[in-house]
Formats: sequence, structure tokens, C-alpha cells
Amino acid sequence: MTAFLEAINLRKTFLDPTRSTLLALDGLSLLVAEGEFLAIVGPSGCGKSTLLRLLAGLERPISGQVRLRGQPLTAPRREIGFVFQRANLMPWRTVLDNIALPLIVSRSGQTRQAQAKAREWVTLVGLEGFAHAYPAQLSGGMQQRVALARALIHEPTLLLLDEPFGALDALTRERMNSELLNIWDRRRVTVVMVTHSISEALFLADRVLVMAPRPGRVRAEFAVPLARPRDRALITEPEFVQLVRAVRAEISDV
Amino acid sequence: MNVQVQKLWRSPTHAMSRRLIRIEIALIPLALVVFLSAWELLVRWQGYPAFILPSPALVWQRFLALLADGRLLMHTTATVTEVLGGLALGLTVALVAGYGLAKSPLLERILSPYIVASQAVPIVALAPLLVIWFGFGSLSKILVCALTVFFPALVTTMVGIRSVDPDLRALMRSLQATRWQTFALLEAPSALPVMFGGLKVAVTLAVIGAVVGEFVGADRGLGFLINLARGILDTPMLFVALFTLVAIALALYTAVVLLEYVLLKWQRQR
Repeated sequence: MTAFLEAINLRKTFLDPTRSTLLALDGLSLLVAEGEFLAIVGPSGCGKSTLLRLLAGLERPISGQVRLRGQPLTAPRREIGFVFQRANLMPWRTVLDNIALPLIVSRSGQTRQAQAKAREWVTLVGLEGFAHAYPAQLSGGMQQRVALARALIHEPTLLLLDEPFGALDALTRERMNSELLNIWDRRRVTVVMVTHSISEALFLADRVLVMAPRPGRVRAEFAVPLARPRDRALITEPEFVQLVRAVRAEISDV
Repeated sequence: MNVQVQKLWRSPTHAMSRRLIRIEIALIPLALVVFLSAWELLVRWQGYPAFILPSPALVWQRFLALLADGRLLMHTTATVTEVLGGLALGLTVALVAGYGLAKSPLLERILSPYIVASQAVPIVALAPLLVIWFGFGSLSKILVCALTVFFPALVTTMVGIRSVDPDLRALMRSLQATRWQTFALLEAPSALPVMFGGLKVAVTLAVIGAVVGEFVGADRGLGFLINLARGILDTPMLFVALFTLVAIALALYTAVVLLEYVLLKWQRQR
């Protein structure tokens, strides 16, 4: 496997409220191949989100290194798209302007071109008719679609998703999963996604890492040998159910 | 294309609140009529002499006379100039300082005792000093005005910049936004709603600041006119000056509200 993204021996500590140091990640390593969809599951507080922020270059590890195409990553880069737990939209910008934000910041092309491209993405994530709405007028699922479009509009080579659908109701979440797969099937960016949901992880990913808490580390790894394109009906197949059971066993064992 | 969006916010409650606003707007002049009638009746029943409480009609006559001889305009212009100059100076310094203090906790720790101490000195006590230093002209009043405006504008700027969502900051960092882009695209629009609160306080305080400056020592301005009227017991003129000050404060406040209405369009779309 050629490593597109590498994490080598990452250590990260935090000061907790009682002023003692908390070991969030203890020597965590992982490899992600180009075009791979990797999901990371684990209980709350196992350091999944911390790991993702390190991979994004938003935070620096105490020791260890993140490498992107073999080059050390020390600061955020535009070729990495990040989707936060909350939609994290600017309430004063319309849907269209929120989606266009990365293009405006990177000054790639004219404002008009940026707008045209943003319009394409509005359609792609199924928000026709809402281009000029403000985030507060949208439902949670719609907001998260805007966030997804914003993360993808400048065609990142790596997409990092931090529990992007965690705040959504179960039905909306399933639809968003299918839509994410549709988009991903069309443009195979490398994805690392953190999630609470075992079935979400298995439905979407090529490979699933199970993390254990205190200190955060990789506990188990599962390949997901399920054919693509995947359909919602898959989750009731015995093969899928068996994988869910295996992953769950690793998590509840902690 | 916007049909769906409009459906979302044109709810019955929205139409109702619009009707209520229309009724409220109609009530404002009505309240004024009630107030003036009560005033007129009070003067007639009690038969107060004009130097204690002149009737509204008498004040109106004095207003027309002062308008005709150009004095009212001259004094009003003087005060408005001081207020606008004070606002411009005070707000500019407060915005720059507020941004700096919001960005640097160290700077805040060092400077905040001095800033708070400066607020503990009553502006009325400071004004004579400023008049001695900067003369009887408009500069000393502009400075008094700027000092009154400074603190509320500074505090709201700091609160506004500090309250920027950390996740949105992380987003801007992940997009490799420059310092200027972070300011223009994130910090400024995010702080604006809070800062408008401070601005509303500041514009009304600015009028008070100018009058305080004029009371201490001036040869023109509405504060000077009030002092003059008091000296010669020309109470109708005093009322004219008083109402003109109210009108200036109202005009400034309305201007801020209108600006807020235009700039914070997104806040109404809920």
C-alpha cells in the first residue's frame, strides 16, 4: 500500500479542568492509501476528534509526525477539506456564499466563476431553491449538506469528516450517508471519517479502525470487503451484520 | 426559485408582528400629542409664569424666532459638529484598541486597570481640564465627547471579537485565510451585532458629552444656549435647546438602527 497520508507515533496531551495532564493520544500510527475511505470508530473521549484535527494540521502533536504524500504536515493546507461536527456555517452568509467561501479565500478565479461553481454544488447537494437562504432557515440536515459542499468545492485531495452526521436524526443520517457515497463515487477523494456509528462506518468505508480510550490508541482494524456501489439494503445482509457484531465486540470490550 | 424559502419565513406570526409594528408606529405621534396636550392643560390650570413652565405654544414661538434669526441653526451646527467629531474620534480609537485588546490577553491584562481607572474619573470633572488644555473652541468638546463614547465602544468591540466561534476560526485556518481575510470575512461580520449595541449607547452618550463640554466653557453650542437661557431666565429658549438636543440624539439613534437594519439583514431572516 502506498501511503498517501501517514500518522507516525502521534502523542497528544491536554490539560483537563483539574490541571492534570490527560494523554489524548499515545503513540498512534496509521496509513491511508490514496482514494481510500477510512472510518474511525470508538467510544466518546477516545481521541478520535483530536486525531482528526492533528491530521488536518489544525493542532500539533507533542511528538510524532503527520505526513501527506511523504511531506511533513505542520500547518493546515487548502488541499485538505474539513467537515466539523456542527455544520459550522457563517450565519451572515447565504447558502451560496457559504459554499463559495473557500474559493473566495483562495482567490481562485473571479467572484462570478466562484458563484457559478458554488451554484453547481448547491444543486449537487440537493439544495436548489435554497441558494439565497440563510443557515438559520435550514434544517440540520440541509446545513450539513452546505458544510459538505463547502468542504468539497475547492476539490481537496483529502477530506476529513468529524462526526459530520452525529447531530442528525436517524433517517436524515441514512440519506446523508447515501448521498455522501454518491458524491464520493463520482470523485474519489481520500476520506478519513470519525463516527460513533458502527453501521455508518461499515456502510461507507473501505477500512474501519477501532480506537480505545485513555490513552487513545488503535485497538483493532477491519477491512470491509463489500462491493461498491453500496446500497442501503446492504445493512441487513448477513455479511454486514456479522461485521457490525465483530466491530461492536471490539468496542464494548474496552 | 425562492418560493420554498419564502414559505419558510412568511409564517402567520411574521404577518402578525408586521401589523403590530404598524400599530406601534402610529402610536408614537399619538403619544406626543397626548404629552403636549397634558403640558398645555397643566400650564393653563395652574397658571405658571413663563419662566417656570412656559406653554408649548410659547416654546414653539420661541423656536420660530430663534430659527428666524439664525441663532438656533448656528448653535445646533456647533453641537452636531462636536458630536460627530467626537464620535468619529472615539469610535476609531475604540475599534482599533478594542481589536488589539481582544487579540492580546497580555495587552488586556496590562492596560485594563488603566482603562477602568479612566472611567472612574467623572467626565464632568475632567472636562474643565480639557478646556484649559485645548481651549474654548470645538476641539475640547470633541475630546470630551470622544472620551464618553470610547468606553462602551471599546467594551463591545472586545466582546464582539472575543465571541467569534472558535470552530469558524478553525475553518478559516484550514482554508489558510490571511489575517486580513479572517478579519474581513469572519471577525468583523461576527462582531457586528454586539458592536451595534455599543454604538446605540455611544451615539446618545456623545450628545451628553458635547453638552458637558459646552457647559464647562464655550461660546457656542446648545449647551452654551442652555447656560445662557438659565442666566437670563429665558425658559422657553431653554426648552427649545433641550428639544433640539433630543432631536439630535433621536436622529443619530435612528441612523444607527437603519444602518443595523441594512447591514444585519441576515439576523431578521429567522
